[in-house]
Amino acid sequence: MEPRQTQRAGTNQRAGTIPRPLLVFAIVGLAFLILPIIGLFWRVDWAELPAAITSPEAVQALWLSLRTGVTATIICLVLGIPLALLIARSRPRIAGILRALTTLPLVLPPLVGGIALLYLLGRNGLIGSVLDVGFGFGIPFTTAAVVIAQAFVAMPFLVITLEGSLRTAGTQYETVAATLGASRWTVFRRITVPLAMPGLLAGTVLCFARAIGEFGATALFAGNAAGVTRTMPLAIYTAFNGAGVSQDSAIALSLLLIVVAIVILLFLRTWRTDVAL
Amino acid sequence: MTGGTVSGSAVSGSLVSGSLEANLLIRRGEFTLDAAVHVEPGEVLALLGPNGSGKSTMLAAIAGLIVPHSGSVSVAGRTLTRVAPGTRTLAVVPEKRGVGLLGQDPLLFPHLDSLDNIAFGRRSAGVGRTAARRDAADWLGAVGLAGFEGRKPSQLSGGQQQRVALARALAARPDVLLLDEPMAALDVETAPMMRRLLRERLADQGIATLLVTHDVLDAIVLADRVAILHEGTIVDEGQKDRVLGQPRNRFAAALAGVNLVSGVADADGVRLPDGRRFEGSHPNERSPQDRVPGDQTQAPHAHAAPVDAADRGTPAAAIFRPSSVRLSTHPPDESSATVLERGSANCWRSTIAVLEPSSGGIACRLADDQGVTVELPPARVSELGLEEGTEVWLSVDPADVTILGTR
Repeated sequence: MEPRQTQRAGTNQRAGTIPRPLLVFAIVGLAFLILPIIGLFWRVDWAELPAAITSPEAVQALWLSLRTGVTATIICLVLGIPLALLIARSRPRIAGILRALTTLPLVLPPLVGGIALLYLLGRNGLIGSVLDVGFGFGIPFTTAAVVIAQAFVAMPFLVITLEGSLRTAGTQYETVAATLGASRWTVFRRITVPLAMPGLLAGTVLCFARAIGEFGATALFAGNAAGVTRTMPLAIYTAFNGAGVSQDSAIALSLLLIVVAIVILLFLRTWRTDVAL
Repeated sequence: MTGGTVSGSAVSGSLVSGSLEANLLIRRGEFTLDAAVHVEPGEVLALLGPNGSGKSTMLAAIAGLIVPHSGSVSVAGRTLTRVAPGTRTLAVVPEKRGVGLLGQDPLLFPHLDSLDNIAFGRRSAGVGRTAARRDAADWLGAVGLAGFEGRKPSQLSGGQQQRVALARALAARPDVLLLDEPMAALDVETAPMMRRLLRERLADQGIATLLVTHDVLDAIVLADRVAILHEGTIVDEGQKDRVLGQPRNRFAAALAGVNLVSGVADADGVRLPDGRRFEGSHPNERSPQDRVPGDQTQAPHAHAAPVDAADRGTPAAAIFRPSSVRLSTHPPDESSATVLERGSANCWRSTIAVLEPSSGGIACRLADDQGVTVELPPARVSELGLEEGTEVWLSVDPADVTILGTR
């Protein structure tokens, strides 16, 4: 366990100060992050908003985003929790290699990820050709492709966050549980997972947020078919660029996505203060 | 075995379990642990030794957390670990060994309350939640914490946490209990209470207990037998009164709070390899523990019984308390009748290597290859202006010295 640092009465107050010039940069940095969102709200046509949000296209895209986002997150949990545990319990050298490999989709431009997925699972791809010839089905340009693209880009967020949490929790409680007669599975279920819960929840939320925001890999690998692969980000892009469709609709959809993001953030915050481990 | 014991309570009267037998060789870099222990059911063996002597390594191997380079561990005749050249290594996993462990850090599961922490072992053994929690409530009472059922570890004091940890370890019904410095992290007010509690609960259980500690008080209160571990080997073992009362080497002596210098028996004392001689009394007449420190009323010769002629030339040791050594910053002058009369026996010259606090004032460790310590009141140290490197002259009254054969 890491020792927790708390500022107590009587300790050096100056320890909490930062140099003034840095403070200026910090405020500019914060403004840089917040102003674009304020700008977006500025442009909203509030009278038209309800109609734009409840339009069949918007509802369809939102529903598809939620369905695929949740499915992708579940896949990430099923595969990502064991992977995070494997990395956290490996020797430092091996853990370093595994962590680097896991982080790859995180640093890769999503478009490149989309192309890579296409060459793996596409009709002429490494695995895709087998599926096509052997079973007669193709993954690209289906809802399944959306889920795969989302899981591909989102899983690193879950794995890296959870792995850090598992590493911090350490193995000493697991050792104690074993000396009390708990099997490995019992230890995992009753000790490992509950102790890593803050990281698991934070990772899941980040993973879900990344999944529903996914654009690049989805566009290349899954395409942009209304109702099948057109998730919120693709709908926004379509509305913004589309001939004959007003940009207001794109703004409205963006707003909807921002609301989803804020709800996620609030959920994360309330949960964190609840636990206060 | 769920609560179906004679007394009707899970807390006392457990079935008598088997003895612990461990014989281990473990290498870690430069360090080698090569030690064997045997603990009978209902017996507490204290493994005493300074930090780094290999105590915790020994426990880890018995608990199955590490596999030794060679050796074996068995409980009640059931082999838990066996590593020998030419045979397949056997190492039962920790959860199937029935070996409980209580360390200096309670390590209560932070997300579970006291009751669920204690019930953890039973639940892992397949006992239902209700029964396990009822059993845990009995245990919580047995460690004096009835009413603390719903407390999370963070809501308990360090001493309370350690009591819950003891209840948790015992509630899992181990065949063997390993205690790794269980009082080391407690403050001076809570440690005695924990020690007393351990003594009571261990007496109920009738299980083999191996206690590892660097604190001789733990051994005196809790143990039946004591083994002294030094740099990976057991250098003395026996009933605690014998090991601590008549230590056979200076490591045991240091733990017992006495000085022991060893050499060869001669006419009526011990001659050290460096030429120093010590004369004194024999343990059957008087031991240094019996003597009031600084008692000058007795004649120096009164207890200096000669070593039997047959014992001459055999290994022997002189034992004396740090507080019975007289220290001076000047060479003994001509008027010191005792010194003149006895020649160089019991008198020597040295320098101070380290000054450190001790229970009886300040301990001056001498630059002495036999590790002699002198204990002085702080005022005396100040008055003499002692510091590290000060040259000093020392003497000890033969009446304060015990001579022992150390074969």
